[in-house]
Amino acid sequence: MTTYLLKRMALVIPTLLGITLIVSLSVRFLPGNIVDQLLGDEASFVNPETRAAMEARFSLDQSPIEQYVTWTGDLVQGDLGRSLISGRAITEDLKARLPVTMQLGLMGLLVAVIIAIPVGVISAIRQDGPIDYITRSFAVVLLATPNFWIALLAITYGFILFDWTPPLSYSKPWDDLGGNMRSLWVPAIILGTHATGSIMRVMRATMLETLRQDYIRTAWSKGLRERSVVMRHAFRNAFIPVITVIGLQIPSLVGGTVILERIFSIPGMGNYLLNSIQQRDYPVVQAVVLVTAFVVVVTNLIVDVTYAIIDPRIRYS
Amino acid sequence: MSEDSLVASTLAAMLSRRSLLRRAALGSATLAMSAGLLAACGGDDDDDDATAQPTSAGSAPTAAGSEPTAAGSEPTTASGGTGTGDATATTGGGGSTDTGAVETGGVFSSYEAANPPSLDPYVSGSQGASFWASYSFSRLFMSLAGPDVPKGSLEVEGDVAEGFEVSEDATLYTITIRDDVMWHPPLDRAMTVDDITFSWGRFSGETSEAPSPRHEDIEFVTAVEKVDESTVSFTLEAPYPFFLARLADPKVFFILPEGTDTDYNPAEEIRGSGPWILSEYSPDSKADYVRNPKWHKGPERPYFDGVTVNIVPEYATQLSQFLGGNLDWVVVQGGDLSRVLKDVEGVQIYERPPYPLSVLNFSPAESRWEDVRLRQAVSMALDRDAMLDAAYGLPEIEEAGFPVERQWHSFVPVAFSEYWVDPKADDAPAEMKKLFTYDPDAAAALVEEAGGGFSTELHYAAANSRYGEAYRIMSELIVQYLGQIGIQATALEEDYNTTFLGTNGTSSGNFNGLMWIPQTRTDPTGYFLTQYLNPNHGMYGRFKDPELAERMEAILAITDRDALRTAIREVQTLLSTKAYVLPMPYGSAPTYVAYQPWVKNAMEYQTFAQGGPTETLTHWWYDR
Repeated sequence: MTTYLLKRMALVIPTLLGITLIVSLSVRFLPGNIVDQLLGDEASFVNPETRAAMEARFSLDQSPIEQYVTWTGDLVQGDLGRSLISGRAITEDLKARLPVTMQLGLMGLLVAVIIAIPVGVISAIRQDGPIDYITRSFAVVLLATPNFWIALLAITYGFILFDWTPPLSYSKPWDDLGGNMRSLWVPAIILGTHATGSIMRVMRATMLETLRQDYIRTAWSKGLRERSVVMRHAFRNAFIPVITVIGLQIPSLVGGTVILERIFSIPGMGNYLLNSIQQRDYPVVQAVVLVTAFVVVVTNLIVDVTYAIIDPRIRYS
Repeated sequence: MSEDSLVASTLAAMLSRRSLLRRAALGSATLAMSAGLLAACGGDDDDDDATAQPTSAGSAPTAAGSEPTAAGSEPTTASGGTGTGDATATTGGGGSTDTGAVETGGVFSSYEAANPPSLDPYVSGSQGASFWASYSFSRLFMSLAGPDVPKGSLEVEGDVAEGFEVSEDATLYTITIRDDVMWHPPLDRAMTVDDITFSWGRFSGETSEAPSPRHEDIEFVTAVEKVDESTVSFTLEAPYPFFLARLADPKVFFILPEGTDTDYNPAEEIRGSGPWILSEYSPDSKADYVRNPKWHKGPERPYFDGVTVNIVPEYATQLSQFLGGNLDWVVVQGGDLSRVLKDVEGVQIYERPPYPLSVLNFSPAESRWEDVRLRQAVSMALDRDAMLDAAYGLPEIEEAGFPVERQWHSFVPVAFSEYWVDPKADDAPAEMKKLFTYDPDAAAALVEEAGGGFSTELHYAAANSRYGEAYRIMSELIVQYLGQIGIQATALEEDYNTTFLGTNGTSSGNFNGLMWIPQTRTDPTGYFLTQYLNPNHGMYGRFKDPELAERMEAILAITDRDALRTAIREVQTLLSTKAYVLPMPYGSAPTYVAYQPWVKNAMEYQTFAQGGPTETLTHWWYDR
């Protein structure tokens, strides 16, 4: 297990560098750069000398590879650089924003698990009954409905029907926990319900498969109560593959926060990434992708390890 | 200050300022020749003004009672005389309608759709950046606002400037600054002329790595020099009739303190001298400002204790927050006006004048567009009223009880009413009437004369631009209208960021067929400079028309206001004949801005520019 962990961890660094290299080059190959963004409508009118001076100021006179190498060199020294446009240190921005997105993501995940697991189990044990059909249809609808659409409906009809509006600005939990929750509960539910569909379907499928196993039949034949059969014997085994699915939801939850943070004015990583891509703020894009990739890689690792802990039969070599 | 004393001082200010304001409004300080006119607004009234500002010793640039003078007045000295302006004419605590009922206090709840690109006002030239910077930074001049000022006015008043003189050839502006402009804490010192020359060096790129993108707008300034401890001079390459308006434009020149970059990082900290001091900034969340008690236009103003600018990117959220009473104002899309009127009792709706101008451009790579008949045909194929109705929902606005006037931009936006020519007016030039009037039969005949129908492209940048749905709708309508006259156009929606901008982008002329894009300029001649005197531009550089160039050059040299107005109006007849670009009705419908009933003075104090946090917000107050 230790060898396996070391090998996996050793792969983290090249994986992250590879991802940042691909992102770094691809974002630079997009037409337009930060100078165009800063000039806005004036971009086609500015004289070439001014443009050249501005590009030099942002090191855009270097090749993309040179820029990437410089950025990586700074990264090794723990410096993620500064935003080209705001001039702020990216590390400081990330310190403020990462916890916000993580909190939203975790709340969304919690919502998804709380809804999906019981519903998936009930759907399985009442297979082909009315509840099963309703919950399966519900899962398909949740999977097919875009986050942003639900969010806009919530904003518009939340006010029309309930006089509800989200707080105008985000509060940190340690400053105002109530305000913080008021900011995040609706986007967390929207984020979570979207992930609910996938988890619910997998939970149902694995539960059905488990319920058909011989040892479950044995449990029934011993005269055990349904609660005991389902929860003690079936659920624990059926839940193992679901953990993987829950882990795999994390990248999509992070992705889902992008648009939700924008609609609900939440100052997280998603908003930061979106703004930086639009503004061609290359160091910020690279840094956010690096951190996000790190979170995803580490999460996957944790999921794999958890897998082994839950099911002692699984051994990594 | 007690309420009584506030009332007394405000009334005193009102009485003295009103007369000053009226006179100042008569003499547009945007023009070089108006300097003499403003001289008539001498500082004598300020003696009666309880909130009068200290004046710099020896500056007294105006001669009380002196008559307005025409262009070409004698160069003057700092001691006054003709050809000068008193930039303090409308300054001081309280505007003309800041009456005794003014209540101070409260925190105004505002919003912006995006973060400031940077806290450093020189980094970006965008309109959003201008708005943000106007909270905390001062300019030499600023747009005049107030109940007596017409919408779209280009008149200015002094911000840091106290007075100015213009040389006879209108290429040298000598500006006297106030001595009571204080930098925000922790600097807490008076602004000096050295700050201005320092700022210019950093702004123009003379002492910095690169010029500000904003520098392009006043690139014709060749030198900014210290004259003495309270006077600075601006030398122009050639006369520019709206130079002071350029200096007042918040897209251009803000003043930073000496020591910027060396003593502190302007990207992380604001050290300004404007009416609002930034107390806390959380990107993507909000910015909190507190009033500057030492503001040079105070001490009463600003009336609010502070402003919170919330970052609210989505329109649906903005509207809900306004309807819920959490935002004090919101820009309302036409279709939502009736809902706002129904849900918010006593809501105040301001009609922002139509601005900016957008033009349809023809590919410089295709020789067919050199035939003026085709260009005219394209214009005559467009039903501009129907485009306005469809794009802005004007019928719904009328149903909501708002009278709607369907106006079309000429070659100058409707907002610049003095210089705009109404193509619908009975007395509009025949050439202009013909070009703008919807006449598909005549347009189809012109196409036939020019060789018959053909296929082409229409490029527009609706994706990732801030131009909105109206722009997209109009683009689709243009395609349909062209089809009616035999020109089969394919609509090509482009991404603003990736393909439209830049020296090789579509907006630089790198397209086939047709392309259109809104343009924002500070003044009418700004559009002329862009479109007709821009020889290096990929698209506009192809207009090699000596007659037009000569007329445009002549306009730029005019210093008499009436003559300038006449020349700008008259040249539009020639532009109608040439039809090098076609003004589109996009942006020629008013923008509706809703204010909560408790926000007072917002209807009276407005400007079309992005300097609102200084020019207008400081006049507003709460009555809750």
